[in-house]
Amino acid sequence: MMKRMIIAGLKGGEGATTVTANLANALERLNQQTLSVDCTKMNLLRLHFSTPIQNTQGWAVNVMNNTAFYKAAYESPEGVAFFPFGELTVEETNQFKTSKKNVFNTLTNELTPLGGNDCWQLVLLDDFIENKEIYLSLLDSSDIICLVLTPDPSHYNLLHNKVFSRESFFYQKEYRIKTKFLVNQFHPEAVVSCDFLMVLQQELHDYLLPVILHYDVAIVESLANLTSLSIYAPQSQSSHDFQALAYWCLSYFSPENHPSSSL
Amino acid sequence: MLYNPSIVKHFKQQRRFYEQCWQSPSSLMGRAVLWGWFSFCLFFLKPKVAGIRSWRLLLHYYPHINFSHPSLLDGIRFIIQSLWLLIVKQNSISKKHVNVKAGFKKIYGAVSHCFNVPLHFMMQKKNVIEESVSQINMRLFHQNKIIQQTHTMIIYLGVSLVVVLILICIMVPLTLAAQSIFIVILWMLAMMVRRLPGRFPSLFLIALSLLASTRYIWWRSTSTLNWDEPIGLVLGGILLMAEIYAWIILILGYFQNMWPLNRKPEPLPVDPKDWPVIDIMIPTLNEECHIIKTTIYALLGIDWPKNKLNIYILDDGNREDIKQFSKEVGVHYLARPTHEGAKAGNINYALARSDADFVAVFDCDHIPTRAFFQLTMGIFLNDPKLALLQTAHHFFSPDPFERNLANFGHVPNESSLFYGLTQDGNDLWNSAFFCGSCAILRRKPLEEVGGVAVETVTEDAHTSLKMHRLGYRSAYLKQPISAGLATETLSAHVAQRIRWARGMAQIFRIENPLLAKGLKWQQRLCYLNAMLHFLSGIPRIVFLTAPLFFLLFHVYVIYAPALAIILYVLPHMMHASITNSRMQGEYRHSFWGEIYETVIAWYIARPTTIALFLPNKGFFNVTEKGGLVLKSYYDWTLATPYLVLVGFNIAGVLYGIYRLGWGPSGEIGSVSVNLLWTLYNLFILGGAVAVAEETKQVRENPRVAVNIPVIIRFHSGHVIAAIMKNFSLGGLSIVTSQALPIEAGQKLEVILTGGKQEFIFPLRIIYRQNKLLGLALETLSPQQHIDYVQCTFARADTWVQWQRGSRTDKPLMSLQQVLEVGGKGYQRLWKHSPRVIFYSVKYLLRLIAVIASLRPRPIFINKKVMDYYAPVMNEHN
Repeated sequence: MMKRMIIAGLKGGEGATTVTANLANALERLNQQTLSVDCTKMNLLRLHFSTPIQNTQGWAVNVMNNTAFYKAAYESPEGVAFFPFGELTVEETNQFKTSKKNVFNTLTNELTPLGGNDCWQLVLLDDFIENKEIYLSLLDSSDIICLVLTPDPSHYNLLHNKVFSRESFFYQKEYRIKTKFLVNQFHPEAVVSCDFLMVLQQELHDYLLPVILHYDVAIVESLANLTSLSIYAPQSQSSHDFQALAYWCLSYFSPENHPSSSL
Repeated sequence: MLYNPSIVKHFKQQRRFYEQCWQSPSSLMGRAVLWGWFSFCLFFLKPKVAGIRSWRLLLHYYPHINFSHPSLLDGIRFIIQSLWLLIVKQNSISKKHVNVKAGFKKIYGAVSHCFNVPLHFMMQKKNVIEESVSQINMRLFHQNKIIQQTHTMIIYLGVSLVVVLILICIMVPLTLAAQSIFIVILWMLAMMVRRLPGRFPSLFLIALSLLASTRYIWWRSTSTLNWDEPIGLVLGGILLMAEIYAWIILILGYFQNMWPLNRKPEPLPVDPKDWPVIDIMIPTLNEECHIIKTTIYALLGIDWPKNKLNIYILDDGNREDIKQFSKEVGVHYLARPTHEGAKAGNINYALARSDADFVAVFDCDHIPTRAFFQLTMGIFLNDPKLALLQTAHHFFSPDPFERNLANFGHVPNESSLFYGLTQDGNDLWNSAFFCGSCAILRRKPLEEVGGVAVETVTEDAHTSLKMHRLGYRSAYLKQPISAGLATETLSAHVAQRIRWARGMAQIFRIENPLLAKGLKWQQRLCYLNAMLHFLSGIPRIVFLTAPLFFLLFHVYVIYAPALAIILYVLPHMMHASITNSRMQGEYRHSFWGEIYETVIAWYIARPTTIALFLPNKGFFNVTEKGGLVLKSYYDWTLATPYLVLVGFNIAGVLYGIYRLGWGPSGEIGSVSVNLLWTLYNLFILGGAVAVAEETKQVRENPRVAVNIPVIIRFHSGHVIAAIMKNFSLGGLSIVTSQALPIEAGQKLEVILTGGKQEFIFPLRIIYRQNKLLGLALETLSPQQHIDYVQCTFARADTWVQWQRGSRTDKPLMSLQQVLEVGGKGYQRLWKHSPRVIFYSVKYLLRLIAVIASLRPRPIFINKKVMDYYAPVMNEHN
């Protein structure tokens, strides 16, 4: 059965794009088939998959122009399949803004048959917390909603004021049970980072993923070298962290853990 | 000049082959010899002889002579080998060899098959018995009077039947032939049961062993004393007493160890508000500051509400730096104005100045893991009559035996029998006793017995004896939830044992467990064994000298024919060995106890005897730990008594050999038995002699080997995954998956996990070797120290997998190890002996080696030449 995972940040800058790209890479290294979809206007996921900067193609461009959706599919040098968002013109952007909900409904419908049975679909979203209505079809069809946050005051604030609020998707039980929080850019050398991590561990309990992603310069370096982290710095802690995250994903969907999902 | 160039070339090739086989260039002489041989082959021999090229024949028939580089004696070797080949051994017998081996294997296989046949059947029976025992419905049993009565009847009947049978087995005299059949049956039963898992077979083995040993003791006391010869009677009587002592210890040991309780931790109340307050006492006298600090750091980070812990450093050394430290980290510091009563007095002084319901005592070198109280206090809360909970002492540094014999981690150490099995066995009989550290006591019973006992030098065991007399209970947890330093030198170890032995003998006099009121008979036996165990000094010396009286002075200490002695003593020793190996194998390998006991025998003999007569004499000496041995040296003072014994035993062996060859032929049996005994003693003494060589220990902080993932963080922001290989208080070693471009002296940070949290520590690279990094800690704040100890020594899982490598005991292999250690002892003795002896022995050995090298060697025909020489060449290298 296809496994769909939504990855989103709370405010931007948490590294949700990085997480998506590297998790896809790590899953591929465990011989899992993956399909990553970039739904952010910044269109940066393609950078992690070594796409040339000049390439402006993407699924949103195709949808706007009524071109076939699947034609926007690419494969990275490591063999990871992905859909870049594409660079929209001003006109297209306006059009996209007005018909956002329809676009994402189309996306959900187009994605569902793709990628075969055991495929992991990693869907990267932005402005997620404020605009849950737009993504409803995606939310309903997803298996995990992974919210990336960094252990700092602003994210703690957002967590309490936005995520835990009555309007939030998190307030609804059917979404809450599949939500997981993922701490990224953890600075063990900074006391404040450690303290906020401890608070998050206390408050989020099982909603917090057991894997903590450490801040590592190697991530930026691998991006600058247009290659994946696991190739650029295989012995870096980040590479190990993502490997651990991939293992967690596998165990989360293992039949023993999730008897219902195996049916 | 006579040869044609192609032949010369050929010869050169052949010569090179010889050189290759021996991996040495040829000498002028060698070339001449080989030249002659090759010519001889060319002109007079067939190209192939016995399937081998004739020019290679020398390699096959003279495998020990290097013809390409002959030495002076090779001529003689050549002649001897030739004569031997011509006269004795004309055909290769290598084929026969194989046959003999195969035949032996076949027989062995058939015999072991015989033992295996009933295995399955017995396994079933065993399971049926064990199941039916576990399924007995006790409630039904207590309700039904008739069942109860018949049950008692059956038990009485059964017991009396068994008693009669046992008496017959023990007392009926048998002819030697009948006795041999009897022991074969016993042995076969033991061999069959030995492999079955579970406790019932252990009990069966114990029964067999008791039977064999008691029969031996009975036979010894009734038919081996010569009442007509006074000297023989006295000496024989002494030996018999020693043997009876060993027999009693054997029985008590079986009783103690037959059913280890294996107690498990019990859960605490959910709300930490219900957890009790604990006073932690750390008595110290002169230990180094950094040792105390580690323990305090571990205690400061322990998982227990901070307001429910009072830590007291009880400094009997009144040291300013400790006082300063305690102020820094915020723990209580108590120093007495006077120092009476040593450690016991020190704790009592603190007891009067503290008030929590529970008192935990840690020696300052025992580091508790963070879960210590969480795993132990539940047991206390569930049992209001529990006065004492002792946990295992686990040592992360090698003790003198492990260090000096270099077997750390391979052979279970000396203390693991006591903490792994004996205390656990005691626990079943509610007689686990206080060991002075890593224990928790309830204050009320402790104060009822007047605090920690000060009358004896083993205050710990004495205190728990007093509490047991008042009807309080004790418990024992064998999980390694703390770790400490072992004694550093052999002399310190011996001094510690002297104190224990003296203290136990004192208790035996002052508060004899057999007579003291309030104890159950099981507790009496357990305490009795603990005390009797330390009286082993004199019996051990008796065993080490007994055969000499026969060999040197013709005194028949055992007045019986040699064959009878063998037939009686063999089952006694075999069964004791098999049974103990099964029961204790995991905690003590066979025969090692002999070495441990022998080392302290001489030293505890006198103090225990004195303490038995004058129990109030004696003082408390502190065991030194955490010290350095800067240079290897031989502890001559300590070894002197053993060297004297070795001297006597060697004299005995020499005279025994003389008597074997030139004495009356009727004595040969007795002489051989005593010779064997003496030789065994010599090896055991050799072990004791070997331990006295103090191997150097230069590292101040002993390292603990682990395998824990860690993270390195560079100041550049790079974060690398690594594995921590070992840690100590001063630093750690890590291995990365690839060599890193860094240099010694560079600073970096290491992130360790403790629980769910991560802690970061500044370190400096001390050395770098490929993927291995040695790191030293930079200056840490007190909080960082606490975190560091929590992430290393005090991790709840650090000691769990510790030393689980080679724990199974194989008696014969263990015997071989012990004999090797004995041999090592004499080698070391020789190495440290005066120059004159050193060189004379050295040249004597060399002479013997040269003479031995002249002996003829077996030849090889079937193997390939290169295959044969490859290992030989390695030896030569």
